[in-house]
This record gives sequence, structure tokens and C-alpha cells, in this order.
Amino acid sequence: MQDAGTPWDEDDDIDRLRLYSLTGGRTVPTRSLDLASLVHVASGDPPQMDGEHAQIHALCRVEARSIAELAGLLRQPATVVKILVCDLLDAGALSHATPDFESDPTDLKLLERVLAGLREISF
Amino acid sequence: MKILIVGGYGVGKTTLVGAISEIEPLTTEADVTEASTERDPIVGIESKTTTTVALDFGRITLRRRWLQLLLFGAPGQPRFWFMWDDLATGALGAVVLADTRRLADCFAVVEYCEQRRLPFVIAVNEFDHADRYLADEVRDALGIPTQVPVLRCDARDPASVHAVLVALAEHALAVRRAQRSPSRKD
Repeated sequence: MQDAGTPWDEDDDIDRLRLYSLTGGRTVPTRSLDLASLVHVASGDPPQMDGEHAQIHALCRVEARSIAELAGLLRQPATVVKILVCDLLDAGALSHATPDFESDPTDLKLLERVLAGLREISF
Repeated sequence: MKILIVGGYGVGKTTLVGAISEIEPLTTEADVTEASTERDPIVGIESKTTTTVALDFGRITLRRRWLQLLLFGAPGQPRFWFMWDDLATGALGAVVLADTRRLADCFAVVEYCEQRRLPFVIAVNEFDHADRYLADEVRDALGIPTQVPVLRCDARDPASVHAVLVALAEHALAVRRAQRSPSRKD
């Protein structure tokens, strides 16, 4: 397990190649997604999927997941996961959950919800 | 909504995220494009390099409020500033985790938060044998105004971490309310 802040092993070229083979060589997502973007499965029949696409779809069936969480669970760089998630969004297999990352941190109503929600839980 | 946990190396970010996250904490590899400040002497243009940074990730779902709080533990060294911009976008605020033996590690993060007007609290992780600074001494050492909360925290203890997050949410609300007041333009 790496410490946060440790650079990725620069010599891992083989791994990198394998990663980008997952995305068909694409390096740029088709949509603007943030690490905090939340996605969940869309209603309707899921299209045929395999590999990482299917894994992401299965994970998002349980609950809404963020890009950061999916990247951590799949152990893939966030950029790769964003590209795969875009594929699923484009195919209609996933849809955006509440657009949390676009939430405005200066929105007082939202901040009140966060505070109330935090006060409701106890440890 | 994002909450950043930022601090120097080995200050307890991973521990803090693990103490409060409802999921097993994860490591997320975030690719960040760094616009190099050095101009390529041959081509004469600014080069861009992509760096990958490992972030601690954890989550708290506030089910009754339809919200997920996403906790990102990020390194606090100045060389990671380029990455904080991405993280800070849309973030509620930051917990600056401080070790009284190495308060200087926090200077860069505090300066960043102040510049970006990102609400932050200082959480002093109480290590055994560390000097038990008073909040005011920490405040003076870091040069932060009295409105910024300085709290003691045990990064291993969920209740202690929870109290820090509540303090951050309260502070963020107070800061944003003040910004909305008619006497200020922003």
C-alpha cells in the first residue's frame, strides 16, 4: 500500500500500456468528470459489457459511487476510470447521481444540510 | 461533497480517513497535469507533465440528507499545490492536520487555503510525547486569524475525527454566510 503522495512508479511502462489498452488507447474522457462525480446504474436493460466496464456497472448497481471510489476499488488510475465511466454514460448504462461535484460550496442551504447530516451521526 | 484532509508526511491523514470512513479506505491514483513553470529552453514553450498522486479516499453517507461526503487525504508539501486546485474545486473545506513537532509543514497548506478562500480548520493530531501546545500558540505559530478553529484531535478516534468534521462544517457555513453579507462584494 502506497502512502498518499508517493509518485507512481515511473518504470511501470508495461502496466501503463496495459491500462491504456483498457481504454482503446484513449487518454481523454468524453465528458468533464471530477473525482467527486457520482454515478449509478440507469434504469432499463444494461447493454452487453465485460471486463472493467462490467465491474463498474456492478459496483454502481449497489449504490451511487464516485469516480474516486471506483478508481480505488478497481485499482486503476482515475483518468482510466473516467474514460470507462464515460463509455457507460454514453451507452446509457450509467447515469449521473446527484451532481455532487458541481455542488456549490458557497450554497448556504447545502452547507446547512451537510452540517445537520453530520450532527445526526454519532460515533 | 468533497472534504480535504491535508497535512505533512506521516502526520496521520491515512489514519484519520480510516477512522471515520464507512468503507474500507482506498488509495486513488489521480492523474494530474502539471503545467511546468520552467520553459523549455530549446522550444521556448511551457512543457506539461503528467504526474500521478496517490490520495487516501474514504466516504461518509448522510442518507437522510441524500449526500455523500468524500474524504480526500492529500499530501501537504508545496510541490503538490498544482493538484489541490482540482481537489479544492467544489470542496466544502479542508482539515489541516498538524503535528506540533513540525508545524512548519502546515505553512504551505494554510497559505493556499487563505489565498483560495477555502474554509479550513487546524486539527492538531496529539501524538504521545508531543508538546501540548495551546491553541493560541498554534494559532500564533501559523499566523492564522482567531476565527479559524484550532482543535485537538486523535486521528485514531472516530468520535474525535467526527468532532473535527462538525467544526469544519460549522466554520464553512459561518465563512460563507459572512461572504454573503451585504457589506462584502463576494
